[in-house]
Amino acid sequence: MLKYLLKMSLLHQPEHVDDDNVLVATLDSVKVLLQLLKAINFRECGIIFATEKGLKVTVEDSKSIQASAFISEDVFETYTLNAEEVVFKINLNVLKECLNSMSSSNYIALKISYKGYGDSLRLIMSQGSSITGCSIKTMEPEQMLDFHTGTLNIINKVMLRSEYLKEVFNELDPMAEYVEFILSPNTPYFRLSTHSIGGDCRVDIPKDCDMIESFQCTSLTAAKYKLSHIKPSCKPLSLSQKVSISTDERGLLCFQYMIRIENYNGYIEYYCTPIVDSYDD
Amino acid sequence: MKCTIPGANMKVLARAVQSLARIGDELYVEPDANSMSFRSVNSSRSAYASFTFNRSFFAFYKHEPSQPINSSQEDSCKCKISMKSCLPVFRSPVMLDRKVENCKMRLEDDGCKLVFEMKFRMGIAKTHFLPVIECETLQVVYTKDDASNSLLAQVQLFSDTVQNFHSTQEEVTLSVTSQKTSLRSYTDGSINPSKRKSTEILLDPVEFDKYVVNNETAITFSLKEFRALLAFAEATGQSVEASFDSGGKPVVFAVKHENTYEASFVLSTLSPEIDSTPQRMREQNSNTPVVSSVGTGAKEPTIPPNMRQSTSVASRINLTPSNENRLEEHFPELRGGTPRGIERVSVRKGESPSLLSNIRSDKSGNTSSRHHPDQTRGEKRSRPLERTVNNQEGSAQEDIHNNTHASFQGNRLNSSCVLSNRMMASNAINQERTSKDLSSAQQDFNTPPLMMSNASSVSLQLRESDYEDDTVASSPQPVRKRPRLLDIFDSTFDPTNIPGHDIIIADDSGDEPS
Repeated sequence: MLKYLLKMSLLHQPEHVDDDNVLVATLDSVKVLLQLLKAINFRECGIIFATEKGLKVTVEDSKSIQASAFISEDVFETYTLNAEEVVFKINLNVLKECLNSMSSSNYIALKISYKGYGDSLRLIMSQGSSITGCSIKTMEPEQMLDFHTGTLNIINKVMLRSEYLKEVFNELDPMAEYVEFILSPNTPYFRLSTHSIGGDCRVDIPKDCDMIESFQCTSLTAAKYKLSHIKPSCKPLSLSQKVSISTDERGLLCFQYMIRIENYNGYIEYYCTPIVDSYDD
Repeated sequence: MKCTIPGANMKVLARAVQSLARIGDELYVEPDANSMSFRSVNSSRSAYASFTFNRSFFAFYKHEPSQPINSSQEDSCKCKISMKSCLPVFRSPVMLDRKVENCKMRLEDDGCKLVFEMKFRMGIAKTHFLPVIECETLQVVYTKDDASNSLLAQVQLFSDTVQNFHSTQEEVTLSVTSQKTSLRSYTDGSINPSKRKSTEILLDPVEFDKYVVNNETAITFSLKEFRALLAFAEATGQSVEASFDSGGKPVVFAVKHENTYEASFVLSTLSPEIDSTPQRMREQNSNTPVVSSVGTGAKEPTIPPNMRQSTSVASRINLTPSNENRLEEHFPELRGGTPRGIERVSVRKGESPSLLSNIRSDKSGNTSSRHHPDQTRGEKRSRPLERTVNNQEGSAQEDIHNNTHASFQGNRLNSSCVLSNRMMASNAINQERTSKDLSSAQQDFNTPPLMMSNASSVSLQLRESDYEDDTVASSPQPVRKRPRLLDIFDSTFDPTNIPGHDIIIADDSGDEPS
């Protein structure tokens, strides 16, 4: 009852100040939002895109890796967008910290509002009889890599169960600099190999292995990636149930994670560009 | 060499490798016609561990030298790999046991890579290619069967006992009598007595499954390596047998599982008392382990030649009289009987000890004991005195040993530096490394390798004797001369009588008088 009242008060509040907000969203539980943010937070700052479908949070590093989390609008109790698209850059660590401070208690109501370009992101959370307000400065959004220019020409695609892939990734030789992904319609099907001073190691995952849900490979692709670029992909792995790995003809690696938290479906995408072979080995 | 290890046994092998990783940085894999051994020796060559797995441990075992029997190719399957590269293969023993169906192990035909092929339950196959550093073998000659004391107990007894010691405790002393056994912490004089914590645990012979004590003695050995053994024994639930003679001779801990595998750890012990009569010396020569590595020519061309260990390990660790030849080579001036005074002056000036001094101090221990065959135990306290007196009578060779030994003491007088045990031990090795004389290495083959621990023990006791000086830690001390040392010096020589006594031959930082 209390929760309902609080929510009502929060919901009612915006009605007369709502006009100048381009984005207003209210949330019942911050868990979904927080978990998704944590999974992609390999850099301090991220860019938030708000569209009518929901929020997309993108984090990018060294113009070679990019992670995006999609938070669909049905995760939110209410979601109003008064513009075509809202884009701003924000310090995710701060946002995470704010959300974290409230995730400990159960009865929470959160309102997120953004007035537009140049303004800060405001969070109002009410918990019991106390109301906390936060305002986080937004930054100028920068140009992000767009991997979707021209439809991705996916050659090979494998869908796996995340928990096993996570173990495989965690056991990759930490001394190695690169990891090579080989996907092929014939043996070795799916191979990860590393090469380091401590020795070479390769992991073969056959097509009919229990961890593989579907295996669609048309031709052999082999590409090398920096191990430090693959590592951030492990975080969403532990959150997700299934992951799809696909490569295009250029060797661009794409992980798509299906995440289910508290009956909400979340979705994370992770792109990693290959290392161009320098022919030195 | 080719073999298959069933999944259930992977845990044992993983525990063995992890236990070995706590000993040394390199893993020696030595397949045999009927068994495979995994061995390691620590960097100061004071601890050695070996695990031998019999045929029955493997699901499939085939040992075939890659070439027809040929003396040089016979050992081609034996190889040394880096522990660092090996550990990831056996990362989590618990998981391995549950998930691995089997593990195939083979040496590639060209002998450059050791291959582990693991098949997991999920159908995943993981293949590790570990580079072979060298085809080198490790041989340790020791006997445990004729050890005078032997204790056998469940691992729980040992591990419960060892748990009582602080994790920073480096060495423990095991004393045995026919009535009781005690394990107590061993501390050297470098630790401030007021901060020292001593632990002693008494064990009743009834607690042991086998209790044979023919020689009531006390041995001091390193706890770290012992813990490594216990970790393995605990994981496999085997009982541990300790066989030893007396301080200064190695102690052998063995864990055995029926006919499947067996582990033995050989640890050097400090000689707590001066009990090395010539008789004992000879005994040591014949009974103590000899660590030697035999290179059969490197297969890995990428390793620069100077990295290869072609000399016998024994040459590094033996500090026995036969090494004196080598010392002569390095210090030719010794042969002619250097005027003692020169050395003594440097003593008086409190010359900082060179690396050499540590070794020599050990030697002086040996030589002095030869001069006093009737010296009995329990004279620990008065030993430095004894020795220094011996020095005066010794040959020129001994003279330099003793001198350096004395210079070490001189240094202690100034309380300028306290070398840790370990440092000394490693210094000793470094020093020995400089003398790469294969032939003498061969001569040393039957001499005790673990004498190095004596080197540290000598210094330990020296420190013990200036215990009183150390009561105030880290405060600048005035140069105080211990009366005993003064006595020695005053009664044995007068530096002003010696020509050239006022010439400083070596600077304080200098290593060798030129």
